[in-house]
Amino acid sequence: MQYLGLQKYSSGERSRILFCYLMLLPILALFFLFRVFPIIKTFWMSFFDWKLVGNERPFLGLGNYLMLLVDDQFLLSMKNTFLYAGASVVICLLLSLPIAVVLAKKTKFSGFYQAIYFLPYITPLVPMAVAWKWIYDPRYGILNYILSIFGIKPVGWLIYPSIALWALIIMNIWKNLGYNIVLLMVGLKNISPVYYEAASIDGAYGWSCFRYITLPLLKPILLYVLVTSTINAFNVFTQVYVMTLGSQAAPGRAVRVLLYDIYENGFRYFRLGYASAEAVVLTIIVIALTLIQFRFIKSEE
Amino acid sequence: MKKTVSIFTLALCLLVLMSYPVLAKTINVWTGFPELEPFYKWAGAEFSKTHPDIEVKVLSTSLREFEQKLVTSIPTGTGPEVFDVGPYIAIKLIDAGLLPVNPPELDSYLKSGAWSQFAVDYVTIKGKTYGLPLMNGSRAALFYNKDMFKEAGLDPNKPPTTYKELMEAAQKLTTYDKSGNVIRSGLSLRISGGGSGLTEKFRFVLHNAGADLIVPTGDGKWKNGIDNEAGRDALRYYIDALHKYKVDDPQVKHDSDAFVTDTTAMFLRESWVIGEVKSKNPNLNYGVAPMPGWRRHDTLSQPWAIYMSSEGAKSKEVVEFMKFLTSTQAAPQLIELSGWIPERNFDSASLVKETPQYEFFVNPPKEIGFYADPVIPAFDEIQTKIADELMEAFLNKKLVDNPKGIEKTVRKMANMIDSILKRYKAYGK
Repeated sequence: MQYLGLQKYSSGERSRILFCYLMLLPILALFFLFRVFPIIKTFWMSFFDWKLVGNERPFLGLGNYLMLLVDDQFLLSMKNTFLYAGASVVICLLLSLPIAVVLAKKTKFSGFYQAIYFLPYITPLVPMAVAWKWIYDPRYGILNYILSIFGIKPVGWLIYPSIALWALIIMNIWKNLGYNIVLLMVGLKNISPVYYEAASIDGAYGWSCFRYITLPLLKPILLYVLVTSTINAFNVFTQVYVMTLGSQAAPGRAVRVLLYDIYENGFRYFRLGYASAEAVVLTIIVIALTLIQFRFIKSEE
Repeated sequence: MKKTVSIFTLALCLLVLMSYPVLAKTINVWTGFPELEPFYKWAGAEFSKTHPDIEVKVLSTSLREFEQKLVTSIPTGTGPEVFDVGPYIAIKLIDAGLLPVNPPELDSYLKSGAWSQFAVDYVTIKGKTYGLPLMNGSRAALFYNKDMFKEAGLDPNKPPTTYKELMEAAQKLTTYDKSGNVIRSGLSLRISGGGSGLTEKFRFVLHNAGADLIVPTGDGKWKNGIDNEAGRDALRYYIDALHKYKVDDPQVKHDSDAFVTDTTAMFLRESWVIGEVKSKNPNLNYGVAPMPGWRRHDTLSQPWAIYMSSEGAKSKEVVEFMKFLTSTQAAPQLIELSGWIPERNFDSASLVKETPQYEFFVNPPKEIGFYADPVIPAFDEIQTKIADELMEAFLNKKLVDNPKGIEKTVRKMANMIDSILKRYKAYGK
């Protein structure tokens, strides 16, 4: 009892609390089984030459991690993932903030626009990626058709390595813009009008109000959006998988991201140990980003 | 009242259960080729006529999903009794001792003369045979549009026989807009898309140019086989086609999509294209010719086998079903229902009479040789990783008339191949 800190409660209350713990146990067990255990197992496997087929699994120590340091494809995946995450998160945030500010004011079709912006977020990834593959088609794609109206020559969006990753970034921005807008609008609506009234009495309007009232008070939401979007961006996979399938697909190298590399090593070449080492590195990156989030929020408090 | 209803329901359930026939013995068949599903279902239905106690259940998923499902289920004994799988997976299962050696009955059936020695050798690993070759997964040929040949002043009855002729014909067949952009490619090359398919298609040129991705070193080991003149020639062929002679363009349609929509005049591909043309553009006037030659005159011919699980091999019915799937009775149905060519010998006269384009696939000329993927675990990874390198190289205009650039690119790929082989402990000097 004393371990659970229950000695201060009456026996009736203690029974009720114990009952609650008991009821939580199955969920905790499932959480451990499907969340915690795979993470521990992945970490464990990363120290072995663990193949999906076969019984020989020699211990490598840090061998898999050392191989990562000289693996061109892994390093390229890291570079691409950082570029993809960085660009899509920053651009998406910069676009969503002014839109959220406009929509937060009770304009005529505000609800309609919110719904329009939010639609891509709830669209399933696979059909969305297939549709974008068509949008990007150099000859028959609607994007090049629109550009041609302005006299711009057809662009091979998914053909040339220098553009292909940016094509994916554009798609990601399109998908997540609405989600960011909704979150930012919640933050904007929670800012008390009292601050703006006080500011107007002091003669502050427009940009000054935004710079010195809106932005500081929106900071926790901004940070939340920034970090969750970054984590989501690091987990990009489906779009890349779909976009690299088939004969008219994106060049694999140009859009190779970490999860795709993990998938390929683990489930195509059956190198589970090596893929686990990559997954551990990805986990560390994601944890680091989460810690940054906590640190910023704490400093705000 | 409640009690009466409950008793009545229980009695009804018992009655239904008792009247249900004794469950039939099930043979589970898994495939990564959804187009094979109708064939397996037909075979199951036919087999059940002579084996009423057998029920054949077929599961088909996309190739990669199927492979993942298979390699996790076979070791745990929860896999299917019968499955078809590519050599790169089969060899991994064989290496791990997870696939049974053919029982004597299947072994003698395989060696009965129903298959070519090439096919028999392909499923023979260290003197033991595994599974039965079902279909030819990769026998490739030149598909060409006869109307476009006429339009370009070429003889539609004399398709190119060498890669040099192929490029010359492609130049005549390509059409351009006023700005010089390709509208219709003369020769559609596979130049994009992830995965090993791109490398496999590159090997059509590479092999006949005289090189192979990997070559045996005589001690059961392998090394790269592309860091040579033939390897450089093959890459140069692609670069010239795309950037020097502009007979293809990354921005136009490719592959069978292009062929059935009249946006390419020629391309190199497998027999399934015939079915594709039948369904999408039945009026297309086209021919099928042997692969063009260069220093060699071969074609890729990849037997795709069916295998049994260890549990399946213990069942007499499963062994019989394996034989039925590869019987002369099943062979025409395989083409009819899936479009794939049976690997075994069979009477193809009526098929060729109805669809002359099948002629090369079922009766290839004697002067054409065959080659297949080396059956080693590293090969799939080599093909897939080289595909990424090739894709980048194909788009590099700086490689035009640039022997040093070509040499450097090919050497980079060669080093990559050797390093993969080393990791698999399959590298020999």
